[in-house]
Amino acid sequence: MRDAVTNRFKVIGTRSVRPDGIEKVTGQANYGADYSLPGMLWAKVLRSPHAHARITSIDLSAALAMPGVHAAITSDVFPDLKAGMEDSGEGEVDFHDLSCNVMARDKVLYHGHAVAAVAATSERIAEQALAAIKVDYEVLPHVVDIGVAMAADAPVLHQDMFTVGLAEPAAAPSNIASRSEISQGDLAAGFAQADIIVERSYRIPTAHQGYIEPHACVVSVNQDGQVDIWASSQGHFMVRDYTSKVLGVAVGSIKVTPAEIGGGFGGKTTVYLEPVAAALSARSGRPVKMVMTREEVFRATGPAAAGIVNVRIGARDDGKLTAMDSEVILDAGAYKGSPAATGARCMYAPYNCDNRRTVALDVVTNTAKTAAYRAPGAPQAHLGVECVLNEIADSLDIDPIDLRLLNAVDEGDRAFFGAKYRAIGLKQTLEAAKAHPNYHRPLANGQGRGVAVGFWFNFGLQSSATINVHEGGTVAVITGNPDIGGSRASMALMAAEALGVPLETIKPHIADTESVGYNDLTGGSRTTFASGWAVINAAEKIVESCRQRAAALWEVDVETVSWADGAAVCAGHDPLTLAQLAAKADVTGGPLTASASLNAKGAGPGFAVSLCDVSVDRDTGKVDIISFTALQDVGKAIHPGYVEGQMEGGAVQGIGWALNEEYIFDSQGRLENPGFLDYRMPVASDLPMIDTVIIECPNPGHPYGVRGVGEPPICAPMPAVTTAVNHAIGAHLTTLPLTPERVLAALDSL
Amino acid sequence: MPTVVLTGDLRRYTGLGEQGQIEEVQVQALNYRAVRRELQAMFPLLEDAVLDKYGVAIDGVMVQTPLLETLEPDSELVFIAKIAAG
Repeated sequence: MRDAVTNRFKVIGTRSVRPDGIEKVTGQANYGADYSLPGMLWAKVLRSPHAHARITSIDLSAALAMPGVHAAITSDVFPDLKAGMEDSGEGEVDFHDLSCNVMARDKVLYHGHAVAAVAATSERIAEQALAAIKVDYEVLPHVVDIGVAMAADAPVLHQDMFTVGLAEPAAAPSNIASRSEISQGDLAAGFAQADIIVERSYRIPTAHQGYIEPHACVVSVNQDGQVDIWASSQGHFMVRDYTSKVLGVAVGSIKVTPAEIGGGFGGKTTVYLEPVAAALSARSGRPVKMVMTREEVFRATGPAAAGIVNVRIGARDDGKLTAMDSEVILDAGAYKGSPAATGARCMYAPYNCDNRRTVALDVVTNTAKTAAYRAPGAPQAHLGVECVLNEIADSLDIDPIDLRLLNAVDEGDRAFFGAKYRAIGLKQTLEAAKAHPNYHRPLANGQGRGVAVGFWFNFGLQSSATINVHEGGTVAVITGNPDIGGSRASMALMAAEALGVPLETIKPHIADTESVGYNDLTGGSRTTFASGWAVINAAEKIVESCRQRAAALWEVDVETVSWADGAAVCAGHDPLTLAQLAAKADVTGGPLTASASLNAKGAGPGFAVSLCDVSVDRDTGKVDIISFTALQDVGKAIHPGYVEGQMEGGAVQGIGWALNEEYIFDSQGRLENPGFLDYRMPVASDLPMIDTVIIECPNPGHPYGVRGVGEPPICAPMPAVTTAVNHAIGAHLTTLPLTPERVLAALDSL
Repeated sequence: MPTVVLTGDLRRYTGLGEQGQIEEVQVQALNYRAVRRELQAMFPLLEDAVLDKYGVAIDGVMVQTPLLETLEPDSELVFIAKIAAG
């Protein structure tokens, strides 16, 4: 399977020019904020000045009376949805909570929570009108720290929230939304077998995905109730479905046209503005545009969850793991739904161990509702396990990669989350890391090295594709997933491969929700896997149709017609190319077109390894990354350049989370650093060139061997960086980010 | 007979062993619907609303449409809590 998949391709695996490149570098591509309509209004949102307060009254009258103001709303315009989790393709959503997050009802739960909105003829008038809205609040005690939020005397956000998953039903409301546990074997016996036990507690800060493009949309509701949305998101079908729920209107009355997306990383997997703009458009009879400011993005859109990860691991002298016990506590923000349980399922996934347990706690705080950030929950969870494994390796004087190889899972092993692995490339990736020159570079004084492994499940889910072959032989490949990480290129490559035609003849398009079958959102590293599979299936239908048409033209049995290099072939006849068959489409059955939809099974898990070398300035505490190597089993790399881009991006985001990025709140629960000047993401000058190594262990569950690529790269950098810093200074820092202040304090304490 | 692996919090509904432990049970069923029926006969608390919250892996493959799958006598079916992604 592996050799067959790796060696059989003609187009796949090439570094083709990106189909959307020219439009993007010349500024012609349309992002969410680039859309405008005649008669359009601008809308702005009034946001809570308090971290926790009861809304006692809202008076819109003065705002509505202002010249130029056409509509103003509160949450009263949205139906009060029933609470409870509903399946939404990727995981579950409580649409009552989602609606309350779009616009607060009786309480505001975080500073920046939307309270009201105004649509006016200009942005300036809309902003002035916000100031005329009178809101009375009863300020309540707040809590922004998950450790504090779990205390018995903490302010409770939701009086109707009782911890789910306890052995006995909870007697009182709590900020702990749920507790879940998985265990195997006998922990006590496992620790009793251990020659060494290391136990640590790690703190991970809230970090934002930091996408460049703020959330933006234009919405027009006509007099028939038809809702047209142009928006940037990770899934326009998701925008349609979620907006439908929040507005209480039929899915069929909403059409969403995808804008280009300027980054998402999981942060654009929900809606904030679209239902508000639709409600304002319905009331004003005019199209409405909304664009968040950078400050709004930081204050009111989902960052990644802060966390506390407690880890205890035991091992024998030879490095064999005997017991692993962990607690993953993640911050959901204002509404339940942190990825704690997901992270807990990832943290042991790379290793075999007979005795282990994870406990996951989902905790709410008076902060913005968190959202996914690549492999949600996995980076936080991996930080704890991987750092402790490095410490065990140090104590036992075992090479940290050898320790991992000794315990690494392979095909046939049962993953901690339950299923048995099919073909996986963890060991190959670890061996490649050990052989890499960067792993053998001598370290100078003040330098340190760290190694870590990351894991992500990868997803399948629903995808659709349509292929239209034009006269002349050009091919339109139409899918329904926003292109975040190069999916246009991968769709084109897979279509060209399946059809056997030159890549240049393929034109990939991303259609609106009315023009292609349903697609789950772009996330979970599913698009190249699942949407690509739909493209392959549609292309194979085209090939089959071409064989039948050629057989009819040649007056031969279709079974005597084969397909090779983009042409129908039959002994005794000149080949008929796709272009030639398209030219005869009218007399052979009509337009040459095919569609395919699937709910893809067989997603192959991905493993990544990070190697990091740092240099620490002992006078200032500043950490410099001097070498970073990202290695990953990607299945089959459809477009290696894009795959490397994903690996580099994940590495940089993980480095930023480890060293610099964090939400800083004041005593009133207000975010103090809602901008890129004070929220310090790494820039090019902060980083070395990221070395990437692609390992190709094809996924047996996909016709071309594809695994997901986008999530694993962010899982391992935090522990690799943290370990490198600890090695450099001889300390055991466990609270991130590793700011100069923290590093200096650690040095001072030695 | 196919094997069903019950992970994590499903144990709350089965009463098997300690909470959170992974447990395996044998079922006489060759499709997913029959698996559910048999599980629910064994463990009445495993209602549809509970099982619907779990994804399914059959013989190591995550399956989105288990109702369309058939099982072999040596198949292994694992219930895995649904996960969200970015």
